[in-house]
Amino acid sequence: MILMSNNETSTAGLEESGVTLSDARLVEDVRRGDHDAYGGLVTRYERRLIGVILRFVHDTELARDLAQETFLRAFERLDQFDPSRRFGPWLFRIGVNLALDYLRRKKPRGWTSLFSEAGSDKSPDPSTADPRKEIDLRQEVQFVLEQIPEKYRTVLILRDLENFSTSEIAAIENRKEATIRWRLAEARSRFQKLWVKRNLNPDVVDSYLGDEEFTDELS
Amino acid sequence: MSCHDFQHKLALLVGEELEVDEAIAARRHTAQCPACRETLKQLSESWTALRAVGETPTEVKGGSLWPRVRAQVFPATVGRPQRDYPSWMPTATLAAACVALLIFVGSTPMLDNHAETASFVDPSFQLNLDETVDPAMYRNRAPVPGGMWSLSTVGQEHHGFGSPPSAVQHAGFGGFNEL
Ligand SMILES: [Zn+2]
Repeated sequence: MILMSNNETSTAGLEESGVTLSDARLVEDVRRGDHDAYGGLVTRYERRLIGVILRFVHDTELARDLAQETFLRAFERLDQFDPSRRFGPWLFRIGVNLALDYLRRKKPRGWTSLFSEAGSDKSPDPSTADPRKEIDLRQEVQFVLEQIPEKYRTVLILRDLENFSTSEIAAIENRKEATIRWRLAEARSRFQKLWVKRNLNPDVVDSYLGDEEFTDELS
Repeated sequence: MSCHDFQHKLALLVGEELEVDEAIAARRHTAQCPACRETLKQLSESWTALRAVGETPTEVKGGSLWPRVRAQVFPATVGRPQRDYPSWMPTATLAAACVALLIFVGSTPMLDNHAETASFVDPSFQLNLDETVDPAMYRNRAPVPGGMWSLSTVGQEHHGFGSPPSAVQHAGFGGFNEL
């Protein structure tokens, strides 16, 4: 591997003799056949990636499997990656899309999902007459998020739960930053309306969701 | 600007994502509009709940994915040492080959022994030492079913990296930490 200059800021994991390798350099090394270079990229991003995917799927082992698949797909498509761009957003786009695709195929939307696979890490007490009284804030937020259309939920998760900037989300989603800001505003408004109504009868919320017009935003 | 327009702005105001002049206009409007004031209050409450969950990092358990990823993208290398050979090994291998060649050239009656010497120098072993693995050979792996996405290049240059509003700072999780 070729090393970067000593001026580079170091980050976790990828240093040799106090010198840190850039993502671009590692990608180039992988393309030249250096196995360890890809290991460098995996170890640099894996925890962050698993954490983000976990926000979508709420199951640690599943998040790890999807993160692993993300690295496999990224490797397979490395020849499509434009080295003048940033590797992180490109990788996270693959990961988020994998998580969303999994949810589209597997996850039932609506009230039942909270207590099925989505709540698998924290199951409510089955002896409780109304388990919704027992759910904690995390589950309550998760439950409301599930009622929000995917493109808005994704922005909320990335911005307000995972603290990516709007420009980073724009890079992940391959959209204009103005579009992401519009989606963020819309997502927070939808979350707010559902949050207020969250203690109402599920049928009331369902009818509210049914009436909601899902207008689209800027391009 | 209508109340509806302002309410979209208020959703960004709670996260301190408005420009200064926009924020001033939004606050000025809410000061005199009860409906928008109520919306702002509700937005603040719901956003606070979101942020409270966001500030509790997800617990990422387990070791590195790299051994499993490596086994799938570089299956040929699994079980074989990657860099655990002494640095003098390539030189020694080359020297042994040279000696064998010299013996072969200098002594015709040694022809029968040559075959034995040649098999001792494993060509695949030399390949491994060179680590000339072409990633392209692994790209022929059958595509995983489940949909493809547009993986064209990232469409945006990055602006304002790692500069979320101070109210939503999230230690250790801002940005990609990319180099
Ligand atoms: Zn108003």
